[in-house]
Amino acid sequence: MVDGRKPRPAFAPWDRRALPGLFDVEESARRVGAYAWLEMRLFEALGGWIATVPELDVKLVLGRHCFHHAWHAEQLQQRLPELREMNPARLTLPANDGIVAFAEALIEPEAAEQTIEKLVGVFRVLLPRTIAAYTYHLNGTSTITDAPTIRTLNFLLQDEFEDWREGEMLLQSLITTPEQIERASNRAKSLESLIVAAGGIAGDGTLGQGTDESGTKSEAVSQ
Amino acid sequence: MANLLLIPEEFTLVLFEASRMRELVDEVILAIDAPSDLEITLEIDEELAQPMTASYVDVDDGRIALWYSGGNFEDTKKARVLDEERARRELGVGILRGMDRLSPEFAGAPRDNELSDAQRLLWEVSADARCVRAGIPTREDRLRYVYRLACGFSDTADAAYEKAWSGGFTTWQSIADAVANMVPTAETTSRGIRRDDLRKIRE
Amino acid sequence: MKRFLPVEELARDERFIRSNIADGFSDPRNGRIQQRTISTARLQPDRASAPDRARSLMHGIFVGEIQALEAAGRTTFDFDDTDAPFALKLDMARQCWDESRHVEISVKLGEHMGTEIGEYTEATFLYEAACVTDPAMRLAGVNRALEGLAIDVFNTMKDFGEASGDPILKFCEDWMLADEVTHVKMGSDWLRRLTERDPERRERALEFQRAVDKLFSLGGFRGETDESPIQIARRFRELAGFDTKEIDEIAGLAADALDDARALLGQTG
Repeated sequence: MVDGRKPRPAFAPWDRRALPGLFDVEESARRVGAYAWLEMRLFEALGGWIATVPELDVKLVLGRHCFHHAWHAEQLQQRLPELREMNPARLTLPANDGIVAFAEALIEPEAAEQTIEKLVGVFRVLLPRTIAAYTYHLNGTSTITDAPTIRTLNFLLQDEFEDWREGEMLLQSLITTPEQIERASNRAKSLESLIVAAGGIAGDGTLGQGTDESGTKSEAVSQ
Repeated sequence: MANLLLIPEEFTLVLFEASRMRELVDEVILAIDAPSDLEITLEIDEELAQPMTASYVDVDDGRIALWYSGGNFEDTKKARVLDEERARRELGVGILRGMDRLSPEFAGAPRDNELSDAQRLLWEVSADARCVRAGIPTREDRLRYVYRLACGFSDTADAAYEKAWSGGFTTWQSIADAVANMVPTAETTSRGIRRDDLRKIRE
Repeated sequence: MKRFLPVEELARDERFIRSNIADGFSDPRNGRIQQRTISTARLQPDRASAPDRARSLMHGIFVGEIQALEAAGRTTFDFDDTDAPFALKLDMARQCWDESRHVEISVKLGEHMGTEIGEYTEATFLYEAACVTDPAMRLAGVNRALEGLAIDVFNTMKDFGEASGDPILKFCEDWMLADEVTHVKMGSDWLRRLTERDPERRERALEFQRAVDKLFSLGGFRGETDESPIQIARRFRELAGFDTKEIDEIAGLAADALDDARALLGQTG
């Protein structure tokens, strides 16, 4: 019989969580707000594109992913009041003007012949960036004080990984000619340029490296 | 060439050509290796459109009497236009069943409007399979669904279908016995004789 | 990408062929068939044409679900946050996922019933109802009128599945019915919230809903008599939040639509 009165440590020997983290409350909230803003632009674009893509399988995947990203935005916004922002809309903002430019370019394709451009933007540029940023956040933030954000990001990442894989498979099935390879790489290149200029989905320091005024990378982090 | 009486002589409501319909009958007779002097009355009710489909196959005074809704021959994508592939299959099944009725093996078969859904469909599956073997394409998935609606969604019904498809029923009695031996479902027993709603309105 | 995508720009692969209602009215067979008495128009398994009618209806459901998916998707994009708050768009995104599943279910059911994508033509008037630029009107037209119609259609198909002993059809239609009840509730909820302080706007939206309801009763396509293949599903409509007066009104509109069609065919036939 286990003696429940015998003292045990608060942390089990295998529990390696620690207090230190890269972000204070404000920085974690700022990042979460920036993620939410971009998830919103993404689900709106996916919803709008459904009617513009002729490929039936792509249409259905966009319908499913549209909800995933809307739900991500909701989950992120629900975290904001817990990070001292009682009006989530006030922090649901783009990280900088560069991200606005990136989002506008991402959403821009409309024609039925541009399915590759639409999907490359989401699945070869944005989702890899989102996965990287969320992973950096949950690896860097305090595993004890910011645990609710980590939990939320883990839920989101599960969708992001699965959606990324599904979108990449769609792209591989759509890109079959040298001309289509060219289109896909051109599209990725132009969007990559924009998001690199923005510093990542959360702006400078998205992955811990900021850009100083001379344009060179520094190791500056938020904390 | 078959001794064909086509009703109507010319089509006025649908865009079917009577001459083409006659050619299709001859093509089907050739494909299924039927006697070329077969006597056939082919009546197509051109007022009936997709999806109001129905058909009857009987023998009157030694002539095969085929009655169809115009919808049975109509292109599902283009209203009033003939779908030749569909027409070949309908005519093939109809003529084969008519030839069955002319044979002694089917002498006791009731007229089509007295057949149960299950009897009718089991017979049609048998004729459809013969069409396929004669090179007339069919939509087997479609046939299986129609059959299941009539005979039930059950293993017993499916087994009878497979037997019919592989040529297992060559007499009227074998079809009647197979239907009698099917495990009845609530749905199949609640139904009576097939309703001939579409045809009787002409009478 | 521009806001408000016109129906002409809906993207489809080459299997899809568009139809329009005018083609149907110009068919000379319509006048003739109206003079004949065909017992019940209800979808019943013991009728000779039941398999073809069921397949045709299933294909209609399939293309209708595609357009419902596209309509919900456009509502997430066409409006800014002041016209359509995030919570509304979240509901529409959820509806996208539901409609996406409904398309998948319809494709599988179509295969089960022996039809295939593109076997029948596609009428796009469902999406046309979603082209209005006022979100309150769009929700009234799409979520209350059209999703309400979907309740009637799915219930009719579920009954057909039950009557024919088709366990797959009955099972799937029942699941889709559950989603449609949710979509109607969403529409009713958002119509009320968006027009809380604007009764005139609410009335305009409800008037639009009535117009769509009448259009989709399509000369007796939906109603409560034997002449209608699609029967009004009162019980499920009540679950979705329609009160008896509203359901009676839809039944009245359906009866009017049948009378209109009779009058039109009387003139042309």
